[in-house]
Amino acid sequence: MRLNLRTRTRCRLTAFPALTAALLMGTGAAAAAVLGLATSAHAAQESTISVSPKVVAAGQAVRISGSAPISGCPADDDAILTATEALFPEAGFGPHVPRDSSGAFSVSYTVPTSTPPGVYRIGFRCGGGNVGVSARLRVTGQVGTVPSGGVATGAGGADRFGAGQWAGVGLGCLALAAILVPVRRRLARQLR
Amino acid sequence: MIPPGGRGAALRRIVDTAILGLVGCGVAALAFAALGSGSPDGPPAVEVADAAWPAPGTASAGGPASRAADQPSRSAAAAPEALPRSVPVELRIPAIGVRTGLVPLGVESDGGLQVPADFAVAGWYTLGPTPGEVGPAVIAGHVHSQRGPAVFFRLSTLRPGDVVRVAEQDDLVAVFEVYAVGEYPKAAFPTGRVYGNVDSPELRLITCGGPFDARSRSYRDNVVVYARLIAVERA
Repeated sequence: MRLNLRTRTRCRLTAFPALTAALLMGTGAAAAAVLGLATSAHAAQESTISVSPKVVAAGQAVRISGSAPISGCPADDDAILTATEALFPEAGFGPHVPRDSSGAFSVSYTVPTSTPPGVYRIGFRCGGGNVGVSARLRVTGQVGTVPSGGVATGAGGADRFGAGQWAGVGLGCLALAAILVPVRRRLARQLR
Repeated sequence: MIPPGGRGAALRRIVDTAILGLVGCGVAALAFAALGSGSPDGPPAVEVADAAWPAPGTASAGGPASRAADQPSRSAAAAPEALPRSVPVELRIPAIGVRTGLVPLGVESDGGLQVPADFAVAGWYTLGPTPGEVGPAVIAGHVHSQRGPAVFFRLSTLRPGDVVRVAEQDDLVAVFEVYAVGEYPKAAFPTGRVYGNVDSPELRLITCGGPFDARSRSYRDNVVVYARLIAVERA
């Protein structure tokens, strides 16, 4: 089935090259202008898919855009996004996205917070077959770089001036006093 | 040389006083060392144990009535929508009298979370969500400096229901409500619970706690306050 779809698409495109190209270039340019897709007019002849941004934290949204020529998959047919279950929990199938008259589609998708960090390939089906193109999406944790271990927020500390320090001060005072005692004695002698 | 009764007697009196004073101070300091080694100004212990771990969405036990005034009224139903990424600039925790600017924090070369150089300000972790974004935003601050209590000295006394406000550069204020307070030995820091993905905007406030080890000059534990976004205000 899948192979058949692709083969048929190719055949049709080569059968009427001039006409198809002219048609698709026109509609493709319009679609690109309207949807802001980064597809060239030429790319509209082939199936495309892209994802933006290419790196995202779990729980954030990405925009997935693409197109499949209406010659291969009628414009009425939705694009059904595919990836692994980690990204699309319903058996690996994502949103069913309506396509415009040129065969282009665009959808916002929120990556589940359950999606583990990693690289995912997003493809799509159209008209019952897998279209055979994919886009890479890198998913990171919400905390992109997870710090290791505990946090050193006690560098000061409550005991900085604790027992040891007080004992030092005490002994210091007594030592000073001991130094002064002979001084005092000498003073007393001189006064006599 | 020295005339009796004049300058010499005065000098002698001064030296007498000094000796007496020094002996007094010395004895007092030694007594303080013997009695006061229990660090009278150490950080308070965690009041609310980690045991009560409410599932997200369940109403947490409210704080003391005196703090109820802080709490914005909230309709239990609708959690606010997540905020766009915006640099946090100020942290306010009325329940413990905290109002501080925020400095950016990264990771140290050993992979640990950086801490603010200034003991009087807290810092936010830049390699994670900003407060109000989906995910666990992290703010860390010191508990104590060599000169006395630091910005998060009383963090461990926060209780479920207390309110934490984070003002951001885009003039929005993310309002969080504490739902749990935990204390863990640093060696058993719950990395997954603190930094792991969550479904909604949350906040983690981290400081030190537990007994102080004079030899390593550090606290044994970390105190972590867990809060979730309950409202968004305009600055």
